[in-house]
Amino acid sequence: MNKEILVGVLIEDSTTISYTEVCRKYSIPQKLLAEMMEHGLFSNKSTQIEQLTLNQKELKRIESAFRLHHDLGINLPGVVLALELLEKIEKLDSELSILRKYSD
Amino acid sequence: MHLENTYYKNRAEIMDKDYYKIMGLNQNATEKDIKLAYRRLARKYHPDISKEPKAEEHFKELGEAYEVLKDPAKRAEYDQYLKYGKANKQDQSHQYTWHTEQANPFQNQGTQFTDDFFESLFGHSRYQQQPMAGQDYQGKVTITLEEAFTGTVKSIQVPNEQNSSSMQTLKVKIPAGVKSGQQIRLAGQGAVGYHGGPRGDIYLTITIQKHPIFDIMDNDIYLTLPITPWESALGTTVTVPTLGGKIDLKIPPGSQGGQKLRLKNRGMPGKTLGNQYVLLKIITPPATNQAATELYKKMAEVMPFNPRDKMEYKS
Repeated sequence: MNKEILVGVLIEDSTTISYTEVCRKYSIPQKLLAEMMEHGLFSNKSTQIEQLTLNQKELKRIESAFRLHHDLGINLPGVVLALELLEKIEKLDSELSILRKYSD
Repeated sequence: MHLENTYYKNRAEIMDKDYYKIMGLNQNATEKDIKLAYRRLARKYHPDISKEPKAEEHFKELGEAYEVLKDPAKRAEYDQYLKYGKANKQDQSHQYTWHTEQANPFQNQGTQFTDDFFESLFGHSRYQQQPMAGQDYQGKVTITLEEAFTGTVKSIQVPNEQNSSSMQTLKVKIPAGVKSGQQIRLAGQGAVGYHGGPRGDIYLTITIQKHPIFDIMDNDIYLTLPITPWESALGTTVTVPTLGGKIDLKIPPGSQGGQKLRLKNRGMPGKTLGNQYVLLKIITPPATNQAATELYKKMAEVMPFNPRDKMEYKS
């Protein structure tokens, strides 16, 4: 039995990962990720795709995007739309929770 | 204790699953029924969409069920198993399958339950010679907002490194200021590598429970503070709770309901300290006795006031 307390690394939101690393990590073709980007999955900060770095939030979006694309057969514009709406709902949910406590 | 073992499944448990029941179908279901049921339930339980606490578990079960039922050959085998196989399940009950992101398209090292399941039924086995990193384990840890504020230590259950058929407990430090959805990586604590490959990692995703009085948005904490009409009109100092303990908050004279007061740096810790916002809510006491009624009447006389005078229509 291991009784010591493990100290892990908290993956900060600002931690970035390069475009090519993302493709390697998830075994996705660069072309597919480039296509996702063209549909507005995340803002294109660099014209040079190989120099692009992505933060954790963008990484999570990519993960969700590929899961939705794969699991539900949603096409790329649909995936981006679904993600934008889901993020909006999440934000509204937090605001609603604050307002509910106010109106209770 | 708080690791939800959605990824770790006992083979015996899997063998006992009723794939038809999971998909809400009976054994006469057509291929089309199966496809439609899958699509409907996949949208319902997709972990990226559903907020249900067990969505991920449901979704994985659904994936397993669909994997088998959509394929006529696998379905026939499964039907046979349902008919005759259950009596023999003890033979395999000591084996376990650890599978991570089964439904994840970019998972390249996870043991796919269905492959493994049928290989074991048919007695085949995959064999790989080259060194390969061990599997990463994914898990979830649910903590309270107070724990997120102060940091905490949580016990999690992971497969035992020597004997993967049992679980071992690891204690993990959760740092202060952690946010919901953030991950903690425990390097080298995952599954043992294959053929001399390195061990995998553990990734723990943090979920912060809803709090009865506080809300959190980014790094900021929100609190609704009830005050009286005279406190709002005259100003006062009230004691308010913050995650760091009680503090005195000065309410300026002439405050209004819905107004937001900021307690600087009293939000969540982290690289940038959050603030606590206090929403003032004016509660008017009911006139429960004669004196109070007189007082309200007097107020109406002394300070005539129409809060509706900015409305377009007038009554």
